[in-house]
Amino acid sequence: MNAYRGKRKSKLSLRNERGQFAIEAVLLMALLIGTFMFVTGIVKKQNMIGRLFEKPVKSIRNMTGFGTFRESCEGLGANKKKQNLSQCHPNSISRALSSDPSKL
Amino acid sequence: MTAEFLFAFTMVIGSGILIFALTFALTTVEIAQYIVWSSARAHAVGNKDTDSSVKAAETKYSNLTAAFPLLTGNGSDSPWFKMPAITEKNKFFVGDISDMIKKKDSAIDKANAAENGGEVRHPWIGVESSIELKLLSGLNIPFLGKITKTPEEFDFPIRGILFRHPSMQECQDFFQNNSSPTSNKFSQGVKVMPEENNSMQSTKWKDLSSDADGAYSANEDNGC
Repeated sequence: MNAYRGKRKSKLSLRNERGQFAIEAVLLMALLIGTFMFVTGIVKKQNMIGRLFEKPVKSIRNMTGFGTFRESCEGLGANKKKQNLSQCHPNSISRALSSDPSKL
Repeated sequence: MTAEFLFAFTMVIGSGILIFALTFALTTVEIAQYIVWSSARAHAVGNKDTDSSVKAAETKYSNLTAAFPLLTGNGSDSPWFKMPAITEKNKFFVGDISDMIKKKDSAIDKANAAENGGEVRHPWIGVESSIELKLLSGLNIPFLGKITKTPEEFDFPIRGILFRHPSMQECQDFFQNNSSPTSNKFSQGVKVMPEENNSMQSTKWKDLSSDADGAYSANEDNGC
């Protein structure tokens, strides 16, 4: 009788699926956290958030201060060389000519 | 399901904060530009004298920054943005701002002449102020840290360049002189015509100016 009971008990424990959800939840959580850490690592390493903000702010800064979205420009005529920020300003003599606006 | 919802909710709120901060900061720059440009416009119009023009620009700047305290800080500490008060002369200046531009970009050509020794141009007259985007430079994102390692780049100048009209005082000084009503005019501004130096000839205006009724006075369009 006792041997029979023991056999039956072991069969029941194998069929017991309680705790399945908890195990899967832990596995999923580990996967999600791992993915999250991996993605945040890449975002930090490549300074993606910084670039998202710094690039537009840099363009705006050049426009409000020097009247151009660019870091440098090319002058026309006698000033045909790489110009710095203040020389790219529309008030500057370097930009007095606008026969080729694509280069300004 | 709840965990997914919380995760998505956090992501959406986080992204929303980032986009809001960026767009709001850029919009604020537009308002700051308007304030500076408006001050430059107040400075540019003719006034009693030069100091009155500068004072007009400072008054306009003070009034407008006071109207947007959240965006400008109005000279005090604002958690989001800050524009300097008119007393902060290293950041706010009215007049020839070429020296202030030189601090940020040493390449500025003050004379701005087309060729060496050519006619000197004066394009750098206006108003300079600045804006500090504290909302962005101080933003700290969980797990990603601060959005910038160089917060000083989020504090930059804003310039409104608009040439000033001559003041009443300058016009009077230009046309009037104790010795001769037109001596300053010729020595400082208008080139002396050849006929002027030749006593045998006389220009038409000279004839007119010697009319008995004295109704004609020599003048030209120089902004006065």
